Amino acid sequence: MRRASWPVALGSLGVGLVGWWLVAVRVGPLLLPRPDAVCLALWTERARLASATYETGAASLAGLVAASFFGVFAAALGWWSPTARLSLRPWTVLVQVVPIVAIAPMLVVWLGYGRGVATVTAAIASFYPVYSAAETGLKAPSADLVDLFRLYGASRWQELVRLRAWAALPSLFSGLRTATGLAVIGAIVGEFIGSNNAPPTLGYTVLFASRGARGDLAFAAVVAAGGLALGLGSVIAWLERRLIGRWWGS
Amino acid sequence: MLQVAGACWRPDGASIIDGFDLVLEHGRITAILGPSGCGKSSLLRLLAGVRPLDGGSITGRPARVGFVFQDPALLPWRSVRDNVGLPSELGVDTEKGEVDRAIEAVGLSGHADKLPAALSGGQRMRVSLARALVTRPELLLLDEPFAALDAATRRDMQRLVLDAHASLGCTTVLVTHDIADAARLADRILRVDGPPLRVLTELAVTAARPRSPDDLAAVVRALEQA
Repeated sequence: MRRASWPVALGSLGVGLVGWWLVAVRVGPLLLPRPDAVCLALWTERARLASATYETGAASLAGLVAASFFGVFAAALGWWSPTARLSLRPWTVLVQVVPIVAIAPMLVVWLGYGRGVATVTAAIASFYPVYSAAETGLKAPSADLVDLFRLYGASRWQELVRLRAWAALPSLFSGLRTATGLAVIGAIVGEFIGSNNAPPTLGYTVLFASRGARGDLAFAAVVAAGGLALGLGSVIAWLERRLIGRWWGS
Repeated sequence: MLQVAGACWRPDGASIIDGFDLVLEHGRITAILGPSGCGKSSLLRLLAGVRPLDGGSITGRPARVGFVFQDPALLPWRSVRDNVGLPSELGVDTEKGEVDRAIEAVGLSGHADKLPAALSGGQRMRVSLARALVTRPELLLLDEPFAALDAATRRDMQRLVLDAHASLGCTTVLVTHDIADAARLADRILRVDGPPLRVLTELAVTAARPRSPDDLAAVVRALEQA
C-alpha cells in the first residue's frame, strides 16, 4: 500500500469500528459483541488463541504446501502431455467444486480427529488457484522465447525447467496469494468438523464460543484467523519480492 | 547457398507463405523490406527452422544459426552473461571464452552481471545480438532489430551488425519495414508484400559500406522507381 493511502485506509477502518460499536450497543452482546469486548477477549484468552492460531496455521501451511506441490505438478504434467491435461481436467474441476463441508465428515472417518482433516480441507480449498495459476504461467513465455529455445535445439525438459517454470513464477505467486486465504478458510472449515479442544484450533474455538454465547471469543478467533491469513499472505508477498521483484527492477 | 523452393506456411489454414522461392548467397546481407503483417517475419522463422514447412523445401541451412528478434527476448531472471551463455547451456557448441568475447564485442563488458531490468532498451538489444553471435553463426537472421530504438542507438546497433557480419563472414538476412535500414546495410534488397508473401522488386546494392547520404538517396530512389 502506498504511504499516501494509509490515512484513507485507517479512516475507513475507524468508521467501520465506530459503526460496529454502534450496532453492537443497540443489539446487545449475545448477537454482536462490542469491539472493546473482542479486544479484551483477545488479551484474556491470548494463550488459547495463540495455541489455536499455531494449530490452524500449521494445518493451513501444510495444506498450502501440498496444494502447491500437486497443483504445480498437475499443471506441468498437463503442459507436457495433452492427454494428461484432458485426463486431469475432470479431477481439477471436481476439486474446485467439491463442497468441503460435505467431504469433511468422511475425512474424519478416514483420518480421525486432528490436524489431518484440516490439512486436507486446506489443500482442497487452495488447490485450484495454484493449479490454474501454474497452468497459465507455463504458457506465459512469448512466441519469440519459445522459438529461441527451438532454434538452439532445446529438449522439452530444458524448455520446461529453463524457460517455462521460471516464466510461470509471477502467475504462480499471484495464485498463491489467492490460495493463502483459501487455505486458512479451508482449514477452519475442516476444524469445525474434524477437531476438538486438544489441541485447540481456531475453527473449534469459533464453534465452541458461538455455542456458549461467547461472541467476544468467537470474534477474537475470527480476528486471529484474519491475522493468520494476513501473515501467511505477507510471507508469500515477501518471497515474491525476493524472488522475482528484481526481474523488473523493483 | 541457402535455397528456398516453393515454401508454404499455412497456420490455421491462413496462407501466409505460399510457393515462395528465394536463394541466399553466402556472405551477403539480404534485406527483406515490406509492410507489417506481410509474412516476412514468418519467412525468417522458416529459414531458422523453428516452424515446420507446410510445403516446399529449404536446403543448405547451416548448422549454426543466430536470431535477433524485434523484442530482445531476454530471460529476465538471468544476468547478461547467463543470457548470452544460454545457447551453450542448451547444448550448442561454443568456444571457451566466447560468451565474454561476444559481450565485449557489443560493448557490454561492464554490465555482464546485471539483470536485463537494469539495462536500457538499446543495451538489451545488444545482449540479444551478443546471444546470437556467441555461436559464431553462419546464418544471422535479424527480425526488425532496430524498430524500437532511437536514432543514435539504431546507428550503434547497425554498426555492431556490420562488424559482426564482417568478422563472421556469415549470410545475413534483415527483415525490416524501414527503407533507410535496408539501404544502409544490405547488398541486396527484396521489396515484398502479402500475405501470401511475394517479391515485388529486387535491387542489388553495390555501393561500399558505410554508405554516404548520397548513396542512400540513390538506393531509395532506385527502389521507388523499380
